[in-house]
Amino acid sequence: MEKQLRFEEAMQKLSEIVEKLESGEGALDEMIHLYEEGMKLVGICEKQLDAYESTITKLNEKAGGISDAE
Amino acid sequence: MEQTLIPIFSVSELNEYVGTLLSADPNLSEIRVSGEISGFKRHSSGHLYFSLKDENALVRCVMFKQQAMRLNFRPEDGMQVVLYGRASLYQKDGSFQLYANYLKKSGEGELFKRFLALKDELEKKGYFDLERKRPIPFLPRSVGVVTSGTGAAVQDILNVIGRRFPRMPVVLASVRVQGQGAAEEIARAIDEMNAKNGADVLIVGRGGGSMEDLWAFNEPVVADAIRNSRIPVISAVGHETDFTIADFTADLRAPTPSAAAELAVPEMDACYEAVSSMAGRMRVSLNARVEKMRGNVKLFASSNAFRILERRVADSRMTLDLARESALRGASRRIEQSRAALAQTFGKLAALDPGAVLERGYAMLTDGNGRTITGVRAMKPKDRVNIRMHDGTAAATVENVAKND
Repeated sequence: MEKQLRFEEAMQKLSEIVEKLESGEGALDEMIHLYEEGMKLVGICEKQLDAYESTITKLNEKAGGISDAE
Repeated sequence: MEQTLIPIFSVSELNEYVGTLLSADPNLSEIRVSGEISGFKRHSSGHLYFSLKDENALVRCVMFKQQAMRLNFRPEDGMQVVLYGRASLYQKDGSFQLYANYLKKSGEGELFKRFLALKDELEKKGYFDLERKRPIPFLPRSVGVVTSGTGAAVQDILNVIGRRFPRMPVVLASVRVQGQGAAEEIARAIDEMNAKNGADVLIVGRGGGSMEDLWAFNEPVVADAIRNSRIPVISAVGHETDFTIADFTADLRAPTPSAAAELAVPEMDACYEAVSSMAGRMRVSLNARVEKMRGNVKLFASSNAFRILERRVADSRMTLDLARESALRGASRRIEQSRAALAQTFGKLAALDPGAVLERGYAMLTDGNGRTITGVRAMKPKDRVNIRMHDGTAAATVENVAKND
């Protein structure tokens, strides 16, 4: 998990690729290569979002003590 | 008798008289009284009724709606305050009371002075330097929350996180947020979050309260814990108008606990949308690229050189087609012709058939060598000839020969 690309890093790389693609420069095979790389990043991002699981963990089980005024 | 000299007041007259006396006293018409609020009541009219007391005495107080609206805190029983106002008699029931223009929480001034001094000190030590603020991650793997487990703040935070990113894991460190030892508990929880690598971002805070209530977040021990935290910290102490040392030290200050949760997590739907929009943009630009190339091919195709070439190809194809067509047509005509010619020839041949002629009563003469005799020139008297008719032959001798003139 740690060495895997973080979501925002993947998104950053992805947006760079999108910009390159949208500039329309470069040879077609280069663009296809970029597209494939970008689609891999899309997969990484979606997988990361899919992997979230709602949990509430208590760090300590000590009683809460005095609560907020409100 | 002396007694007769003493006038007899009605109750109303008495109260009015004392009231006038009190009101005339410059010491009472503008007065400051310090004490503890007790028996606090907020009437539906908006007026506040309470008493101020100390260890030995108590005085009734009233604060009218117009003045009460200017208060910047909610008075409650047990609060130490300084009342600004005047003292007078409420003539209806003859009670002595204070009319409050303004209330100020006592001790607040002291606390505020301490706060400023501490802020100054830590600022000089670089606690609030912008360059040491850690960036808040866009999408944390989990959110750590350091607050009271029973307060409104934790509910607000969990609600907002649940709404924005329903599947976001939360690590909750339930701590005391006010009173003796609260600051140490908060600091320990922050340390522990770091030690256990429990979260990618921390929300540290509590709901609103008096400056005294919020004081734990002004303690240097909390500032140190925030400063030493590897995990970025979002502070969320009290309301928008409350500022604490923790707020200045934190990497990001949120005006309220709910706002902190908004800053800590993105909207899950927006994340999915952002990813798919990237994918969409890539698809569109690659398609555009391919279309552009297709357009280039078309452009080349419609260019002059290509058109000439193309026309030439088309022309020669047409010529070929025409040739093939005419060849076919020609051939068939020729076949027709030869067929007709053949028929004619056959007709002629049939007409030439000697058999057919002989049948009509003609005869053919041949000489002794079998050669056909075509005229009398070839005959002289006494020549032997063969007469051939359709059904047989006869031998004959020429008597005489007479040529046509």
